[in-house]
Amino acid sequence: MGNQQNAVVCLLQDRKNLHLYWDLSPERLNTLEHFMTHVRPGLKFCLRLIGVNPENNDRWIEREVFLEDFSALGNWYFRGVNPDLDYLVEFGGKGEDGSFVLFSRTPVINLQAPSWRYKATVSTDITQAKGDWLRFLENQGSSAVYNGVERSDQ
Amino acid sequence: MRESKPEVVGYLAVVLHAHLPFIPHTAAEPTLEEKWLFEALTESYIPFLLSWERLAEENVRFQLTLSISPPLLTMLTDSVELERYSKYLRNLQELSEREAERTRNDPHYAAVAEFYRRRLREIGHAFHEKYRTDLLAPLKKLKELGHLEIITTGATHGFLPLMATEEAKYAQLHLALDYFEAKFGWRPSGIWLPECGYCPGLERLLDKLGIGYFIISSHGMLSANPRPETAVYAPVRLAGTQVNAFGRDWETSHQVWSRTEGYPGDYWYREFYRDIGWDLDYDYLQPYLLGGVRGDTGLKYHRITGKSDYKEVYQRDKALERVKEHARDFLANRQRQLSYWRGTMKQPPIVVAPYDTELFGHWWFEGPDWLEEVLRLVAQRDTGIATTTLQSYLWKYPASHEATFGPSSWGEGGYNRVWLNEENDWIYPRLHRAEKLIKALTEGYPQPGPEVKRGLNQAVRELLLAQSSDWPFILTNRTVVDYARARLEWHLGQCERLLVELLTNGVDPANLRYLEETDRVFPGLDYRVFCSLPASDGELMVPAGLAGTVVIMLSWEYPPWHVGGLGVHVRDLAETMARLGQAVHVVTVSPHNQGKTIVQNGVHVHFLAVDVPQEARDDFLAWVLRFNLVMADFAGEMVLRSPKARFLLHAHDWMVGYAARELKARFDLLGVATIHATEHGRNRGLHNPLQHAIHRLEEELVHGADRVICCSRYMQKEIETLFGLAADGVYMIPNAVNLSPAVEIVRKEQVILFIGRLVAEKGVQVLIEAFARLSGLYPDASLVIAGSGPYTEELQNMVRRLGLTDRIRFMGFVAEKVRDELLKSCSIAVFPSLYEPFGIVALEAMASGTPVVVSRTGGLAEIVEDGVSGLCFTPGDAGELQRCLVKLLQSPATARELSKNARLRVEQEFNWEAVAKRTLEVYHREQPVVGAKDNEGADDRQREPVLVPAEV
Repeated sequence: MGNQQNAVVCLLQDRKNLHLYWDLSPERLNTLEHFMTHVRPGLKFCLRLIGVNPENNDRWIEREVFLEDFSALGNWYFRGVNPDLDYLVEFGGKGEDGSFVLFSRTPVINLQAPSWRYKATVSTDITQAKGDWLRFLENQGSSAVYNGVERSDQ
Repeated sequence: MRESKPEVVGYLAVVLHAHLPFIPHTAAEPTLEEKWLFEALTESYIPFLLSWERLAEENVRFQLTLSISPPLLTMLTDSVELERYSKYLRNLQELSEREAERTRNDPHYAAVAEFYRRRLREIGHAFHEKYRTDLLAPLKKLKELGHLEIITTGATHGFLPLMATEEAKYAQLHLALDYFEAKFGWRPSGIWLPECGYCPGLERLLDKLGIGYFIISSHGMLSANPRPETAVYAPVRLAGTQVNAFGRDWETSHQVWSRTEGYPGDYWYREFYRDIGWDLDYDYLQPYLLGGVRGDTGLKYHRITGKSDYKEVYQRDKALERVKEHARDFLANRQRQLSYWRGTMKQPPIVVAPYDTELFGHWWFEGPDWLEEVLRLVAQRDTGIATTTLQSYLWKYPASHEATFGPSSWGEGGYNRVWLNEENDWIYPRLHRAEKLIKALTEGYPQPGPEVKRGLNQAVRELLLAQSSDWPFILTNRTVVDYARARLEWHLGQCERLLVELLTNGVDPANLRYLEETDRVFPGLDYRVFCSLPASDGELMVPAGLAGTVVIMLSWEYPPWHVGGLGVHVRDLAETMARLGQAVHVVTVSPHNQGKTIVQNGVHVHFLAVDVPQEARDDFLAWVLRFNLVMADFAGEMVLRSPKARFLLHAHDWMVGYAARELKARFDLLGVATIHATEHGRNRGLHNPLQHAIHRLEEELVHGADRVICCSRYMQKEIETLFGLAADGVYMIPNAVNLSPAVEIVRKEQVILFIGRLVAEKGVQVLIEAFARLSGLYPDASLVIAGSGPYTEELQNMVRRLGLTDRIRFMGFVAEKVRDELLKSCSIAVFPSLYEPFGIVALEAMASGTPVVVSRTGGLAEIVEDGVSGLCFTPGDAGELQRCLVKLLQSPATARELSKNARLRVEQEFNWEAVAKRTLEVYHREQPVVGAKDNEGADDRQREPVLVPAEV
């Protein structure tokens, strides 16, 4: 079926891994290839993982990936990202001179609770015992590990 | 003496989540997948009902929360399913009777076989006689008695964090709540997020739907911002909403779920993997096997015994002893846990213990017995604990803290991995495409006919069924992979088919009927649930539901944000068309990176935000490409959201060429291109790669268009020559101006004016030189240069060199209002262009009654008749220009006569109504212009220059 989204979509797999797919219509692919052949020859399809500081929105290029054998529908996994940051992904064409032409960009993906200014009515003075309990809970790892009953017939 | 009420140290909130994927009954006989429902009914749901009724009859104080998914609710109230279950149950009862008889003298198995016989009799009696197949009635009764709080979950248990649109998430939630209310008669106050899957922003949707709470995973609660000092032992309100989150307790989960340390693994409990369906003779079993296929019967005679394959016979009494021990152990742990936290909290803490209902009874056979025992123990007076529902707790102890939450789920890994990995990631592009197209079509059909409505409704159903979290879960766990894949392909495929049919030829009625019968969830579904969220695009509105013929005009600039005449032309043409009754939507670029839609004089103008990376801000062609992609996406959305409209595309100049090409190809639109100027003409040739690239784009736009328009005979010839079109392959429609009423104006004497972009081709340098030559003769004369551009500095240097800085003033870019004032007040307006496709500012000067002097080039030579409506000079000839200026300065009467004739010419021949009508004619011609390829059919083309008469 047609109606491709003409977008790159970034999905959170978990706080250290992001999944990205791109979904282009034949007409969009045609446009990009035309641009990369006749207007800006030498560009190669490229993904850029942009780190975003959730506190001040500073951004930087964390990784670049060149996509060989590019097709209109494809995907990628960015593994081992920093769980304390937010991220977005840019899809574009990169030249040998380092220039980057943006084709599409994802929204920012939050990997942790969004920052929020709250009134400091909540005391952060945790008693030693309570702190011990919390540390105990955290050291047990994700509770979801225990959600492992096999549903072998489903 | 009245006994004092024992103090409640803390609360235990057991939450059971009951869900099975919707199984269509496509076959005459039950399928193996329907057996999941039958097993759950026999081993979990009915035993739980009996247990809770027992407790209620004994006046045991207990409360718990039960979530029932809509697919399960559908199947529990489906007469076909209930009939099939009845048959299954009777069959199983018969088998148990035969087993009891067969093993009557077997010292090992007689007791367990007899146990099953009695148990199945009890369940059969409950289902057939006591409940009369209506399982909702006892639930409602328990709720009325205050023992149960009943909530629900997503419509088809779709995993919300991986959906692409807010509308899809909202539809899952909204439909579920409506369906629940239709079945039970009230709306739940809380919701179970499928798989406990939370992502930031969901709370806004829940708030909008009036949902008061949901349950979040332990780590989701602990990593909230700020981290709650009550850990998971009190609810927390989500910032900015009235929605609360309860945190799942880790410890209670571990005690039940853990494969190695949890209660279900106790060696005295029933072994799931030994079933008589695999052990006994096939011929004996065959009448009792679904489809005659060997499989589990539910009659399992062995206990876990140990880690090896050796299994001993199940002893029910011993198992029940373990149940009691585990219940006591569970209670003791809860007492310890709650006492600890009570010491540090202002209010009694709550332990939230959610479980899949099917765990109890099906996987862990003794589970319902264990839970019953726990509830009995907790209800005893001196435990210090009370059971509660989540809503009851919230009423007593509202959340006192707010926080934001990050993404989380209760799946393995704690996030989305179970539903997104290499085994199942292929489903998301298709799911997301369907989401977005459904959203577009729901807006495009506000008042559909009955067949379209049914088609849209069913497309939504198919999407919902494809969204079930069960399918990617199964693909990950590699269990019944073929089945999950087949279901996904079926629902996605049918959804896609329906959407294509809705967009093209119409829905196949026979297929639609079949789907409505088999995939029959949510009979009252209205597809408009997919567009019930307010637009979240801020001030930018994608139009929807348009009808009739709609012109989409693509223009890189539009007033008030324009640098040249193109934007003014587009505006005036569009507004005149709108006055003539033609719907026009202009798609253009916002200079402020902020999207906005306005309606101005009948024209919808969509200013699109174009984000460009900082490092590419100076990359002109990259910027052009970027805004073309944004335009194509926006206009494409427009087309999709108005399936009944007939769209025409009108592109202005090469800068929107990519968008035009893409839209034309994708939607098979009629494409019209207006060429306002050419790169070759602007630069008198092509001298560098950038100019060659632009020329190529112009060429592609011209050859890709069905109709090409230009504004002068000069441009017509230039386009035909440059791009190899046949003679007269281009429609010539001149520009026009808006005429304000003629007013007698007192003009300033000897003020010469230029208005336009300061680029070399406008020839301002020629004017400066001419002015320098006459400045000695006319010491009071001054020259005003209004405009901006890359040539400004060079011109200013020239003025300085000539020592004329006190006689020549540069005003920079002027807005239209200032421009009009300047034209009305000056004595002569000069347009000394070296290259000019049309020269609209000259036309504006003529319209304002200003005497004009123009170079004899391009469109200027066509607009101004030398000596009649103005004076002309040879391009680049400063001497001849000087002579023209002197002639007018010396003879104000001549100047007045020329300006009067000029005004009359504009009134008669360059008005927007005529131009707009002519353009509309071009749009609606039967035969497209085929340019260089084929000259036939172009016999109605203009052979002589067209100066459009006022009346067309």
